[in-house]
Amino acid sequence: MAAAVLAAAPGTTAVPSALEVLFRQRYVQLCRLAALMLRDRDLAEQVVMEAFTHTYAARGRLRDPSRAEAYLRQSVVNEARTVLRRRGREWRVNEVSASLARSETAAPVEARIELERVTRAVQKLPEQQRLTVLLRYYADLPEAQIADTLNCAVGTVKSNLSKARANLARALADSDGTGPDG
Amino acid sequence: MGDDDMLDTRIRNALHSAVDDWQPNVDSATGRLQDAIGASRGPGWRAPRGQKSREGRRRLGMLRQGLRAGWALPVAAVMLATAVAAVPTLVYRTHTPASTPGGSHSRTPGPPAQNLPAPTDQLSLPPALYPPGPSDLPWQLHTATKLCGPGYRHLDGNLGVSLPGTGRTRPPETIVYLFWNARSGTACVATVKARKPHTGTRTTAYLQPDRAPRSTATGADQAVVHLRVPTTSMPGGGHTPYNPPAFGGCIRWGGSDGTAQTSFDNTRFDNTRVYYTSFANGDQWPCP
Repeated sequence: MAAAVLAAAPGTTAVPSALEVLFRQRYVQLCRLAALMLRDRDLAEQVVMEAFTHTYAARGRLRDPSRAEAYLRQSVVNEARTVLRRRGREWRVNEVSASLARSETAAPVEARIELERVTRAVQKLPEQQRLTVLLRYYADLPEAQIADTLNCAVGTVKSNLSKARANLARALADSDGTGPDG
Repeated sequence: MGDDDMLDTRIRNALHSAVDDWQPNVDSATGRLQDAIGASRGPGWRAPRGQKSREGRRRLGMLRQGLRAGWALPVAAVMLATAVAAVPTLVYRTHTPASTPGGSHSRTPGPPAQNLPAPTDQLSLPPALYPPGPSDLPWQLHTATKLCGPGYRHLDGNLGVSLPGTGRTRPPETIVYLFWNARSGTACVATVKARKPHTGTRTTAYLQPDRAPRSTATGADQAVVHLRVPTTSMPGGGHTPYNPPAFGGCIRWGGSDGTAQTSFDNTRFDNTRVYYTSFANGDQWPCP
């Protein structure tokens, strides 16, 4: 299926059907991943859209057609990183739960607390560790593919993952206890 | 190993429940993608491999020719204009308060917000502390029902507290309330902007019973957090309808009005006030 993206004639004006298929299959998933990275759903949709346009524009340069999806994922991650970097200090920690957890009224209080606590801990991680955690635990990618997506070595992924887990365990233990301050 | 697995499951569950309820509209997005691809065939369109080198050579040739012919200035001007025209498309919209109005905590507090009954639970703030002014109406309209839902009572001894201090000289900017619902055994903390509401100020509220995890909420202009007080920590057991349970523990609660510039890595909220309430006698009481 992904291979068919390349098969589309470069000169056609309509969206190639193969890209549309890929789009329909992966759009929601990638949007959610981007939303976790950016903590903003509208922005996430924009980023994914941008990634798809890039992938379409780059279809002539893709050497390995089977890697169109990987290219797409990498594109989403890179776009999201750029946005985060550009946004930089505008970001307020207060916005974390606001933009992420919008429809949580239905969930029981305990579930909401748990969600809030864990996502907050994840979002406090350094960027590399956070991306690694998202790709590992949300996108369920194997380490090799994470390394591919983040453009780093498998060893780096492993070390980031173990650091992130240690950080998370510590943060969660803190917030499970009596709390950091009085 | 068991702990590791539990951590993995916790992370995985939280991440999934954070976004999996969100269903972006693929159909409308497909239309937008088609538009975007159509637009990308404009000046910025990059030709596929093979055609690219020829196109590049052609452009380079034109540039050389232009330089030789003394067209450097006009060409540069055109390039600059193109670059300037391209910039707006690269700028991302930053946070949009209209579409994310501080989460569901803010406007529609947790428990069923049904038709609000008559405001019989009007709060009485001591006039000595908060002399009402012509522009300070909003906080007089705060009621337990409006903020936390039906069944909540304002706890004795814990009247609204101004956040930036100086409650004696001027009305509070932001008020943090503690309420108690005897029927459901739920405590509720509400942080509300009292002056200049509707400014979208980030507010936070939190609640933490003894030996229990902290629960927090954020929102624009008002933040409301509900938390069931664990019944296991109530040796006294029963409580009368309008009195808090006599479990003898204490509860930490507070809020912030987020005026401080909190950086991303700094979770400390300035302007946060922390209060302790012992359910045993209803007084403010420092927790041991």
